[in-house]
Amino acid sequence: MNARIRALLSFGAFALAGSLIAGTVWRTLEHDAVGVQQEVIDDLNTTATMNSWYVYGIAEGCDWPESARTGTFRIGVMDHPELLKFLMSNCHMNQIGNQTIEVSGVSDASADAFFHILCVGDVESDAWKAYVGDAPTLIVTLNASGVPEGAVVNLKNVGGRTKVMMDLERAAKLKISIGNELKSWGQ
Amino acid sequence: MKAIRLVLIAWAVCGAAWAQSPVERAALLIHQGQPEAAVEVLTPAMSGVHRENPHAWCILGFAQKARYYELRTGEPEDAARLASMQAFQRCLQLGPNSEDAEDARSSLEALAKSFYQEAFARTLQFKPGDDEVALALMRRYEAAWSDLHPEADFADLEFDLFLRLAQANSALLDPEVGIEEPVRQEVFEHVVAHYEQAGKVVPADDRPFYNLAVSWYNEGVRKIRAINRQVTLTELMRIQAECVSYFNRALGYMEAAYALSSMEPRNLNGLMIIHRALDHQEESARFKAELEALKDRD
Repeated sequence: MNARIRALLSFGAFALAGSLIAGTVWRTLEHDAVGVQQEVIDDLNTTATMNSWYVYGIAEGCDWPESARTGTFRIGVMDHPELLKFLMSNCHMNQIGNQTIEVSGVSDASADAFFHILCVGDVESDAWKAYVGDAPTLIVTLNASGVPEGAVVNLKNVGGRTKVMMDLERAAKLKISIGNELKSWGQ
Repeated sequence: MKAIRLVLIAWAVCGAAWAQSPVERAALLIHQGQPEAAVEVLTPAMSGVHRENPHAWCILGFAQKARYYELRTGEPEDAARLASMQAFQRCLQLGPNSEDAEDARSSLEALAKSFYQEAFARTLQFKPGDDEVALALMRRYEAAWSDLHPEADFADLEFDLFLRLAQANSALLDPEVGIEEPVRQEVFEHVVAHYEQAGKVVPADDRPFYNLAVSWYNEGVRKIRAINRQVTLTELMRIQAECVSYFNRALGYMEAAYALSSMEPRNLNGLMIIHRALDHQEESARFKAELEALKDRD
């Protein structure tokens, strides 16, 4: 057996092991992109998340009368479980001024409770109207056509962007002072 | 007498050893696992007496190939691999015997494939900026493989590599990886560029378009997820405007994916979600209904 054949034989053993490994990889790759994973779309409800931050921004950007500046800062959500979920995770138990924010869902039965902000998911329902009165409750609606009577702020979504609409007269009547930044974005 | 016998034996052994040509000695050294030494023995001979010897080039090719397997730098310009390929190519040019020709050809094929395998390996242990190395390895593979198979078509492999590179970059965008903002932006641009390239290579496949849509969409969502209580209303509006531009871009790509594959649930789901984010309620509801109908059919 000459040296070359011996060398090749030795290579044969080496190459066999190598090619078994490499061949397996190659077979998996050759003309086959099936194993490639797809990107996973983030299923976050972006509109509800953004609305929750707008509500927080409204809470930060307004001043309530003295009578409402003690105790917890109460945000109620009616007929909008998604908004409730994001307000709970983004705002609940955080401080606003010296008040702790308390977020809760609102049912018809609790109409006698006071909320600094009441978010209304369904303006067609009459339940929220029970909160329209003299108490300084800033009612935020998510209405396509504008600020309904009794509400102070409406968040209208236009092509993914939020338009803030305000009834400043109603705010003044409730002695809720709207901050300049919020006013500048209001329509 | 004994001394004379020993001298004779020594003469026979050394004589035999000295009688070996550099080619045979190199082959023996390779066999002994000393490819570096084999190259040293052969190199001077290759510019002299063995310059036109295809068998010598073949042995040099094996020696360099063994060095490459020993070192495996994973670099496109790996000197041992390139030297091995040059030696085998030279061997084939010089009209080798059938055995050497077969060895040279199969070695060249294996070395060519090693470029693609290393490009693929780069996507598995990926670091920011590895894109260029992986693509250079791919170009080396294509050049080497085309020499052996001029009719070869690389579209599927290129498509696969671009998808893998895009996803390797995309994995780096995970907040848990924690890359800093300027690098992050570059990585995102690479994600987009690789998916776009994949789309150009195989335009009839919906996956690059779907992935582009999701990449742009998720990038917008990431900005929303990063909002915190320190963000002012003015910033909130700026972020939202930016996200909408991302979502609109995502919508275009998702519509392109849907046009190519309208029965694919991921495309329907994507359109439902993107339309929802853009407050296109009717369209979102339409794609939701299509998706549910598709699921019912299955």
